[in-house]
Amino acid sequence: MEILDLFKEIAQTNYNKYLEEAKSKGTKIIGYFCNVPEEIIMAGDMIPYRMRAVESTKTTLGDIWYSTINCSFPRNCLDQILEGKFNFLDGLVVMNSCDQVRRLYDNCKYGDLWPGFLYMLAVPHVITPESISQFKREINRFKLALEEHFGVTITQEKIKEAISTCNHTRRLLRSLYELRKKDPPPIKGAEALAVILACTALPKEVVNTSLEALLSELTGRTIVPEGTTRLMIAAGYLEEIDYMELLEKEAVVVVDSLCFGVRYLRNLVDEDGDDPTKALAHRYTSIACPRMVESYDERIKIIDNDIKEYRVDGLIVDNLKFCLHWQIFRFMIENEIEKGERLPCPLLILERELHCLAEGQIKTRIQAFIEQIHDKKHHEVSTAGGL
Amino acid sequence: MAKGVKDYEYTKMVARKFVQLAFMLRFPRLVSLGQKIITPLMHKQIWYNDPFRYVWVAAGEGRKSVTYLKGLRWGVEAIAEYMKSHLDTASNNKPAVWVEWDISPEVIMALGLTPVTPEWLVLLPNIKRSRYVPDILQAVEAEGVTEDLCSASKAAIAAALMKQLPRPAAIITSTQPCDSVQSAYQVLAREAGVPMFCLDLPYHRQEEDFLYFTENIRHMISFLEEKTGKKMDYNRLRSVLEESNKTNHYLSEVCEMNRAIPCPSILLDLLIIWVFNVCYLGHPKLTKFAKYIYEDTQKRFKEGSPGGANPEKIRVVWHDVPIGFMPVIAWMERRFGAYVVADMVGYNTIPKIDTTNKETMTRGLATQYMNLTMGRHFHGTLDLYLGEIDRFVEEYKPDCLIFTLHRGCKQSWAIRNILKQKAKEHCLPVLVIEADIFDSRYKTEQQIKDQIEDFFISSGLTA
Repeated sequence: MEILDLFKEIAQTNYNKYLEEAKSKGTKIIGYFCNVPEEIIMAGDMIPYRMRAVESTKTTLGDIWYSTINCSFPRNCLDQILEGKFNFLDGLVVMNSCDQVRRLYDNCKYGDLWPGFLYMLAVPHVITPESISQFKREINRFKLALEEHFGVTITQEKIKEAISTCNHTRRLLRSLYELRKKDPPPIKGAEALAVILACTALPKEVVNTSLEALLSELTGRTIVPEGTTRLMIAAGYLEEIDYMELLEKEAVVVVDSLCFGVRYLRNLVDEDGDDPTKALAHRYTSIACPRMVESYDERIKIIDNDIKEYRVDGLIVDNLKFCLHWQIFRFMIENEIEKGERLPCPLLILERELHCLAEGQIKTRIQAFIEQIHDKKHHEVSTAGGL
Repeated sequence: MAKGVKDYEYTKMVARKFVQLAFMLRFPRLVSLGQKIITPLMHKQIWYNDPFRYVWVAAGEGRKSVTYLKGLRWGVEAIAEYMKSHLDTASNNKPAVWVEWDISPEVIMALGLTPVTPEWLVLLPNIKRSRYVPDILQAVEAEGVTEDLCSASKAAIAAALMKQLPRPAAIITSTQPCDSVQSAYQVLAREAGVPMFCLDLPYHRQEEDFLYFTENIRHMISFLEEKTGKKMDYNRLRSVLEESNKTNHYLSEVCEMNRAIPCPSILLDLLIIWVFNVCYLGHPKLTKFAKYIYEDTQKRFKEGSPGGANPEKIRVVWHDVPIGFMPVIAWMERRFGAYVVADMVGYNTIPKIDTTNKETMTRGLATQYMNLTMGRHFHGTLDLYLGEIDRFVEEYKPDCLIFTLHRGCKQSWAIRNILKQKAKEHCLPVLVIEADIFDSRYKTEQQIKDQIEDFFISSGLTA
């Protein structure tokens, strides 16, 4: 499919023709990490660009600042920054999503590694009425910083407009995820990942038009036979399409709990109230991410629910090495399964470093996992048949 | 988990050891004499001296004054009471509150509840045997807890899983200093099955951030009242905070005096009381201990004599001192005349809490928590951390800088180059030690000593 190829192409490069075109017209592009409200950037007539390291093949320069026992996502990102791969960005907004990403800001600032607009957005770790108000203040500080640096005016109306556009994107992506509930689904997990990666690296008007086209083209599409093993993947940062393709060699990923996945599209921003900044503060602190304290139950509830809705046969929990939040999530879910408190479906635990594909190992583990799933299904059929 | 470890086994063992030590310290002259006699057997870490070595180091290796030992007795008694209170709480079903180690326990004490800092399991067992901490950490890793977590957080999880802590009525944690603490307390809350309150430390330090955090403190008090059925008596809180004010005052005065050349105290004093304060800040016996440290330091400050037995030759600023390897600090002084004049852990910069009324006390607590060790270094903007290094260099006139990259402290590893640049900016030799500050499986005491010795020699500091 042409449109999917386009999404995939965009997902695998840092820079793309749409950004280039916008840039040539004088539009500023702002790189951001994790849960920075992209609506504020859009309201300043700039393009939000979610940071990634899709072209990275090494961390030589990043390792000068980070160490080899740091998470490979910020290491790869910083390496790409130092390689000049993000020179097209006019600004960089980091948030305190985790300690190691937070330090990317510090390295850029104190190591003098980022010449342009550099901002740290502090997002609370708890959800209370006070933390929402605190975050609202932070968003206003951020808005002010953008206005001062770029000479733009960010009005309430413009924020509302941006919210509406982004909500439309989320609704379209939700429709895409609805299609994945079918057996067989019309889109593979790797393709869906590519779509969301692209959606966060394009001007939103291009995103929405392309998503609408994609949805209509997917009707009637068949990519795997009916009854193909259906997987769910829960992970923190995952941008490697080739890795996802590897997981899907003998199965299909029908749903996820990913930053470039469900967490991007799940919560809408309230459009009805008269305080759009507060609505943004509410939405962005409500994302069920391990950085939020006491979000474990919420995350598990979402996963359990999606396992049922998407008729998932097997769950893969995958974490980046040295990511403490996800390592602890993994420990907790394993512990619960061991205690018999939870058994949604067979579970496979994987750990990886960004862009270090151990193809042979993964293949073997996936094959064994699929066999385990088949055995379980066979056992269930046998039991139901009274054998 | 941890085959053969019984419920409260470590708790009882540590309590017993502190009770014994407190009794011994009632006879400070005798302890001092005894220490002098056994000193030749203690310098090197060998199996036969291991059960006594930490006590020997903590009590000043036979070179501390009798006055200091008199003060130490109060500190040791406080911790003996602390550990006994855990056992008493457990056996009599009294209400306990688990409180994360970067949040001081005054509020819990004022509510008449037993404060339990789960991280004590990494801070205190060395007093009995240095092997205990690595064994505990290994056991919890075998249960599936990632080895990448900070060893203090691993120990906190171990303490809960091994049933070394009295059952809590509630848990208090915070988002400082790091992801490790934040993640570990999710496990603790699940394991204990009780409600948890998380103080959300703001990243920035502007007035509205203080107001936000002060509101957090108010909610924490209401939460504790609701979950434990206790009502806060603000007069009682006042008296606890006045104790911690005095303790912090004495210790910050010691830190001020340490600017003198020669440095009138040795870092061990500040480290030991820091460990005790983590558990029981606000206890009157810790105030007494702090006062003795202050008076002992002041005496030498006035005399112009150094804190240790040897003349001062090298002044060191050391960030993230390996607390689990305290003998290294004493060895540096003994072997090279190297004094750690300022460090991240022992340095006390906590502002006095205004105890006038409920509002000022709540605000004061917010300010205190935001200034605690690690919180002020690792949670917010790096300006605070780097600013402290600049201030130390300017005020304490060190000859070199040492940074420990603690294995579990991923954010320190992520700024190692910035730290090196900071040393370069100040034209000071710098040593970066990669170790776990509690866990000898990664680097042993001897390996740390060797690295320091090589550094001092190669930097020309021993000339």
